[in-house]
Amino acid sequence: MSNQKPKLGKKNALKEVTKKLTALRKKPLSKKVFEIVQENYERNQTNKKVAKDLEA
Amino acid sequence: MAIWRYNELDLLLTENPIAHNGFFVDTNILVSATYDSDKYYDDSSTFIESLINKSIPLYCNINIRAEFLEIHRRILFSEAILDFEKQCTKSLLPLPLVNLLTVFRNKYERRLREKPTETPYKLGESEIKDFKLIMAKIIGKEKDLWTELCEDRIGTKLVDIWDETESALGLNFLSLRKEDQDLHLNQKPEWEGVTELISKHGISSSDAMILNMFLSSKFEVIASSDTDIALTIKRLGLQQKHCISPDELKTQI
Repeated sequence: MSNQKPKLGKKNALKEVTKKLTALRKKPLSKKVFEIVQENYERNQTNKKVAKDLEA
Repeated sequence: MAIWRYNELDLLLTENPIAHNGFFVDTNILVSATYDSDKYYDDSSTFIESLINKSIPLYCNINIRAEFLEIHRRILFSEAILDFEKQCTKSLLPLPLVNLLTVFRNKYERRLREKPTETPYKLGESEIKDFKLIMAKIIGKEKDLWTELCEDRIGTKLVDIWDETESALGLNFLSLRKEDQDLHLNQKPEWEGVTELISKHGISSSDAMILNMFLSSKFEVIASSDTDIALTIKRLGLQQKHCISPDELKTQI
């Protein structure tokens, strides 16, 4: 290490990193996110209905 | 002079020629130069480009890498949760989650309204934990909502971003290995130095660890867009230790 020269940055490469990071931030949420919400809701509704039927 | 503005870089280098050997860079300047919604994005990215153009090597340590990942993780989760709040049908969600989403949206919008030039509001660690606790209980056929959100937005992508940042900026890591100590450190950073910075200046432990490494090093300049780092350097008033920051930040302190 002591014989090595320090690394230097690459011109204009920072902009590319920012561009990639911004693309990741702006990426639309996956369809799966909304499917999970729907599946969870439907299961809860079914459970509620079963519980209500049992009470009756 | 301990505190310099970005636009005083040439003067700083003329008065402190040893600074050509390298600048120590703090987490916040790396974040502000890679996050285009940060209030200092233009200033910090232009400043870092000018260091690269002058072939000045940049140095950091593992605390800076950890903090960089941590701040970007908070940004990614904050934006993903805001998108979720906007797009999801609220009547399908449990009430505690709807309430958390509403509180976050209101804080975010209030910041935008009241301080439009500031960096947007992002979730704190405890707020992320609150979301995690509720979202992990929303379970689909294959996995829970929190796991999906993590895989969708974080995955290995964040680590890739760090690797690319490290490569783009040519970041050099300071370690406690003997070669690094001989070459870059005046003394081995001791834990006592960290506790002294915390107790005397009231800064966070992560800032104190970064500053302690800088103070133990042979580097004369730390580049930072963090008020706490700049203010502490100012308060220390050391002859050979300088901080270079965005113009506005210098005015604030």
